[in-house]
Amino acid sequence: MEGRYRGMDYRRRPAGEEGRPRPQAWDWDAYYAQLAQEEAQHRTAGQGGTPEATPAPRSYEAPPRPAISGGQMAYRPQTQPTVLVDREGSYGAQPYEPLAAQPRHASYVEGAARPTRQRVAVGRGHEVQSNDQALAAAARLHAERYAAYEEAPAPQPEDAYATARDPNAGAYYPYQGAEGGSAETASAYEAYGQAGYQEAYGQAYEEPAAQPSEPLPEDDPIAAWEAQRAQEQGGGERQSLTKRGRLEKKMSLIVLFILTFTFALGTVLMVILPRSTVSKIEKRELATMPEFSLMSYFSGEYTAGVANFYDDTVPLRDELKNVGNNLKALFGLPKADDSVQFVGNVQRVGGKKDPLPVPVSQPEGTPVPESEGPVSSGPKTGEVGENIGGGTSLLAGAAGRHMDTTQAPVNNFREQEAEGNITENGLVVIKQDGHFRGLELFGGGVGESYAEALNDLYRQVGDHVQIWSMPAPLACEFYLPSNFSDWSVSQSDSFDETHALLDPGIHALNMCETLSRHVDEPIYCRTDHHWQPLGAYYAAKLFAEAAEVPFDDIGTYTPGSIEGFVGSMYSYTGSADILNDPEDFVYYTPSTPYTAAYYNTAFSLQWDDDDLFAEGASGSDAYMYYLGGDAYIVKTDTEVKNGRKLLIVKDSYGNAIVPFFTGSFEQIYVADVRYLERNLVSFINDMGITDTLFTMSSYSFVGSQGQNIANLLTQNAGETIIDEQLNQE
Amino acid sequence: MVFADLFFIYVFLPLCLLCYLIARSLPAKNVVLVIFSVLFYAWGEPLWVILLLFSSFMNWFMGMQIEKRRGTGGAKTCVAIGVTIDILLLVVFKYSAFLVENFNALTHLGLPVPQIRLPIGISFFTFQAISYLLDCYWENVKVQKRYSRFLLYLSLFPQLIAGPIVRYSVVEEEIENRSVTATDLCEGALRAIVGLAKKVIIANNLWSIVDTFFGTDITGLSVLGTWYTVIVYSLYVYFDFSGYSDIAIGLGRMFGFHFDENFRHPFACKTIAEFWQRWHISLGSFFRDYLLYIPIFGKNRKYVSLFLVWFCTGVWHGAAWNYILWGLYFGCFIFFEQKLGKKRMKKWPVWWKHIYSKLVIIIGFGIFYFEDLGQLGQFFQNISGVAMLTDGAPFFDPITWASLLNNIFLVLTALVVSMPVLPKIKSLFFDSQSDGLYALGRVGSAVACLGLLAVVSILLVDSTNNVFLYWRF
Repeated sequence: MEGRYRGMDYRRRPAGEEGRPRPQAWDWDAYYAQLAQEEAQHRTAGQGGTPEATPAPRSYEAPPRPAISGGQMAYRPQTQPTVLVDREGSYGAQPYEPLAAQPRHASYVEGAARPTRQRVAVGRGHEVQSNDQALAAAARLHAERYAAYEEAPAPQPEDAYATARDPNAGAYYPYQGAEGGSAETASAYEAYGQAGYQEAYGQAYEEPAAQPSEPLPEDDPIAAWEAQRAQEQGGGERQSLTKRGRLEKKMSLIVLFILTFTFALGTVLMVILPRSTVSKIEKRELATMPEFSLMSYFSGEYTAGVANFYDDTVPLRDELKNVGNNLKALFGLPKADDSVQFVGNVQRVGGKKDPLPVPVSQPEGTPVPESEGPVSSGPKTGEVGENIGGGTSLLAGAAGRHMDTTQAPVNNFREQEAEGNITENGLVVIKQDGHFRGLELFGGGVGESYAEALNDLYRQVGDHVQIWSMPAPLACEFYLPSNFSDWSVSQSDSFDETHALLDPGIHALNMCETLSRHVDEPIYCRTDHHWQPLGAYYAAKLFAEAAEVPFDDIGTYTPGSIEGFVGSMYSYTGSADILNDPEDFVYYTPSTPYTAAYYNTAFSLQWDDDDLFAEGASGSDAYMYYLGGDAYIVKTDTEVKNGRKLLIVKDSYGNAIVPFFTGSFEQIYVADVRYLERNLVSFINDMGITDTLFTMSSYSFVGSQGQNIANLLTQNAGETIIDEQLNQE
Repeated sequence: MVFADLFFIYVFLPLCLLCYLIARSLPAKNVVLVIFSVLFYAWGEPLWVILLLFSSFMNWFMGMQIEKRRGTGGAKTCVAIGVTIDILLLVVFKYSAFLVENFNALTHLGLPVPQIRLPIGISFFTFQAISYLLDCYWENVKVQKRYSRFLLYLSLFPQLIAGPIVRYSVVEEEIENRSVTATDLCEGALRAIVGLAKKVIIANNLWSIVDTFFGTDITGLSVLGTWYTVIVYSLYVYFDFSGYSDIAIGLGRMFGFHFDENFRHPFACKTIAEFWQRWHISLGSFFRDYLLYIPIFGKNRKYVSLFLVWFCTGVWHGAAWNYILWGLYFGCFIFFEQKLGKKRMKKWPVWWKHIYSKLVIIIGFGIFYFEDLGQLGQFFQNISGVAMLTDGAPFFDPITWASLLNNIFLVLTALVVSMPVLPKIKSLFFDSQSDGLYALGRVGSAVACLGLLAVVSILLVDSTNNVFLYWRF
C-alpha cells in the first residue's frame, strides 16, 4: 500500500548518511542518481510541453519531502530533510508500517504503468544480484503475487509490533524491513536519525546484515503461499501458477455472471412489479411522485421526494416489511415468558428523589392547531384512503393512528418522518401467558392545561351542563411487570393530581381502580395501543352509574369479533413477535334500536340513518370498526327518553365507549378533540347538551390536548350552530 | 443520496454501471463518471453542488499556477492561497455557528449565530483538495492539467460524501489509464455488498440499542447499562463508518479505481497508537503527512504538533466541544504511550494491553457520543459508578439484561466481525492450494453476498434510522 505514503517514504534510508554501509543488494546511490536524472528530464520536458509528451517514466517513489521552509524546490533526494518531526510523536512507533505492508492491487500488473515502483518495491524486499535481474524477477514476482492476491487476505497481523519485529518481515512484506533487517530498528533509525536512534535505544545503529529468508511459519497461510510462489518462481514450475491464473479468471467470469444476472433481475423486478400505494401496517398512503418546481428542486425537496417515492412504494412493501421484522427477531434468543423487549428510548422515571417533571405545555413535535378560526380542512392526520378496508363505509380517520398527542416527558414521540416511518419511543413488548403484548410507557405529568381548559369551559357553560372528566389509562398501567415499574409512572396518580386542579363543580372519575379488577379479561388490545371494547364497557358502566342514567348490561349486546387483528403496536415496535401473535378484536353491537348521523368536522351533515360501526374493518384496522375512525362528528339518537343529551369529547379511546350509552342517553354527540372545527360552548348550548364527557387517553390527558380544548373554546366564539339533520326534517 | 438506499442500489447504480459499460473509451467512461458523480452530489445538495464545482475549479486552477510558478516564490503563494480558501470554506460552512456561539459566550456580544447547513461531504473533499495542492507543491504528484479529470478525482461519487479521504496520488494514474477486469468487478461488487450489510444489518440495528438507552436523558441509567450501551455504540460507529468505506472501496473498484484501506480491524489493536493506525487511516495519515511535519512550533514541535494534530482530528469530527475533547483525549494517550516508551509498553502482558486499549477506546466513544456536556458529565458519573452515590443509580437494571438477550446474536456477530476473523476464513479458501477449495470460496462468497444483499434490501424497505452517521461531516 505504498501509494498512500508515496512522497513521504520514511522507510527509505535517510540519504546522505556517509560512511553507513549500504546494502549489497541494491546500489542506492546509483538509484538515486537515476531518479534525479529522470526527474530532471521530466522537468525539462515539462517546461517545454505537456508532461504527457514526456516519455520518461516519473518516479512516484518520491524523494523525502524537502523542508517546506527550505524554499528551494529543486529535487533534492540526497538532502536529509531538515524537518522530520518525530513520527512516533503522533502515531506510534511504526507509523502505518503494517498498513504499508498491505498488498497493492493488480493494476500494477495489468496496467504495467509503474515500472519504477515495481523496481523499487521488490528490489528492496528481496535480495537480487543485479539491477537487471532484479527488475525482471521483481516484475514477474510482483505481478504474480498481486494478481493472485487481489484485495484478498490483507495480512492481518495479530500484533503490528510482533509482525514488524519478525525478521522474516522483509520477505513477508516486500516494502518493509527493507534490507532484511529488523523493521523496527530500521524505522526508528529512520525516524530519529543516527543521534535520535542512539538516544532512544542507547546504542548506535547497526545496519542489520542481510539475511536469507528463513522458512516461513507454517501456520500463516499467506506467508506459506508467498513462499510457495517464490519457489515456483525459482523452480520454474510455471504451469500450476498459470493454471491458478486461468482458474481465477474462469471463476471471476462465473461469479460475475451470477452477480450480474441476479442484480439485473432484482433491478428489473423493482421496475416492472406494480408499486405499492398504501401501507396497511403503517396505515397511510405511500408517497407519491413529487411535482417538479425550481423552488422544490433547489430546496432539495424534489430530489428527496423522488428517492422517497421510490423507496416508499417498493413492490410488496408490507410483505417485505414483515419478512424484515421476522429477520430482526433472529438477533436475539427466542422469547421466554415474562421476557421484555424495549423499542425506542426509555428512561427510568421512577425511584428518583425528584418529583415527576411537569409536562411541558408546548412540547416539540406536537401539532397544535392555530388559535384563530377553525382548522382549514379536514383532519390533520389520518390521510388513509377512503376505502382502505375494502368496505365502503369505512371512513377516513385516524383511529388507528397514534393519538397524536403524548408529550409526556419520556414519550417524546417524534413526528412521523417524511417516508412515514413510525419512530416511536418508550415501547415495550412483553410476553405473558404465552402471548405477546405491546405497551406504551407512560412518562408521567400533570394535565395542567387540560384542567385549565375544563375550568374555563365550566365557567362559560355554567351549572346547567354537567362536565365530566374520565381519562382512559394506557395498558401499561395494568400489564407492565412490576420489576419494570421504574420505567413508567402511575397513570392513576397522574389522573388524581390533575383532577385536583379541577373546579369542584366538574365531576372527575378515575377508572383505574375499576379496570384493575378486570385485568384477567381482555380489556386491552395486545397488538394495538387501544383498549378492547370490553375495557370501554367497564368505563362506560362507571360513568353511567356516576351520571345516574340507566345502563344496559353487556349481556344485552351482541358480541362479534374480528379475527387475526394485528394493530398499531406492530407498526410501532416492528416486533415480529406481535405480528405472529394476532388477537381477536371483540366488539359488542347494541340490541336496542338507534340511528346515527355522520357530520364532517365542520358539523356539516354527510349522511344519516347509519349505525355506529364501519363494516369492512379488518386486519390492522379493527379498531376503526367503531365510528370508522376519528374524522367525523357522529350523532346518535336512541329510544331512551330521559332528556339527557351527552356530548363526548374524546380521542380515539372514546370511540369504543359510545355504543354502550345507547341505552343511557337520549342523544349522544361524539366529537374528536383534535378535529372539531366549531366552538365548543356554542355547540353545547345550541345542541342542548346536558352532559359533556371528556374521555381521552393518558397521553392526550397530560399532553397538548388541553391546549386543543382551550382552542375549541375560543375558535369561532359566539357562533350559532345548527344541526343540518334537524333542518332536513 | 446515500448508499444504503434502495433508490441508489436499484436505480442510480445500475444506470451508472450501464452507461459506464456502454462508454467504450476511457475518456468517455470518465465523462460518464463525472456526470453521475455530480448528479449524485446534486441529488442531495442541489444548491451546494456549486460549492463542489467551485472548490474543484479553484484547486485545479491553483495547482496549475503552482506548476507555472514552480521554483519561484509564486508557487508558495499559490499553495498558501489555495489552502487558505479551502480551510476558509470549511470554517464558514462547518464551524461558523460554533465559533460565533462560543464568541458570544465569551464576550456577551450576542452576535447573530449563522444558520448554515453543512453541505454533505465538505470535510472530505476539502481535505482531498488540500492534499492535492500540497502534493503538487511538494512535487509528489504531477499537476493535473485538465479540469474534467481533476473534477473526476474530487467528485468521484464512491468516496465523495463520506470518505475515505483518497489522495490524488492514489488515483492519479488510474484516472488516465485503468482497466476493469472481471475480477475487479466481482470483487468490488462483493466488497460493496459486505459494506452495505455492515451498515444496514449490523450498524442500523446496533443503533436501535444505543437509542434505547442513550436516546434520552441518561440520568438513572445503571452502571452496567452505561457500559453495555457505550460498547454497543463503539461497535456501531465502527460498522457504520467502515461499512461506508467498504462500499466506497468496492464501488471504486468496480469502476477500476483502487482506493486504500480505511479500516483494518481497529478493535484488534493493543495500543492507542496502533488503534489510530487501524481506524480511519486516511484521516490519520492526512494529519500525519500534512500537519504533523509542518514546522510551526520550532523546538517544541514534538509535543505541540502532536496536540495540534489531535486537536484538529477532534475538530474535524464535528463543531462541538466534545469532539475537541475527544481528540485531545486520544492525544493524551498517544503522548503517554510515547513517554512511556515502546520498550516498557512491550513488557506489558498482552491481556493487559488489550484491556487498556479497549477501555480507552470505549470511553473515548462515550465522549464522542455526548455533544451535550452536561450529559457527558452524567455519562462519566454513570460509567464510573459515581452516579450510584449521587443519583442513586443502580448497578444493574433489568432493561439492560432484556436488551442483551434480545440482541445477543447481533452483538456477538458484531464483536466477531470487528476482529480479523472473516479475512482468515476467506484466506482459507482463496489461498488454498486446492483448486476445488478455491473455486468453492469464490462461488460461495458470491452466493453469501447475494444473500446479504437480499437481506439488506428487505431491511431497507423499512428504512428507519438509515441516515449515515458520517453524513454530518
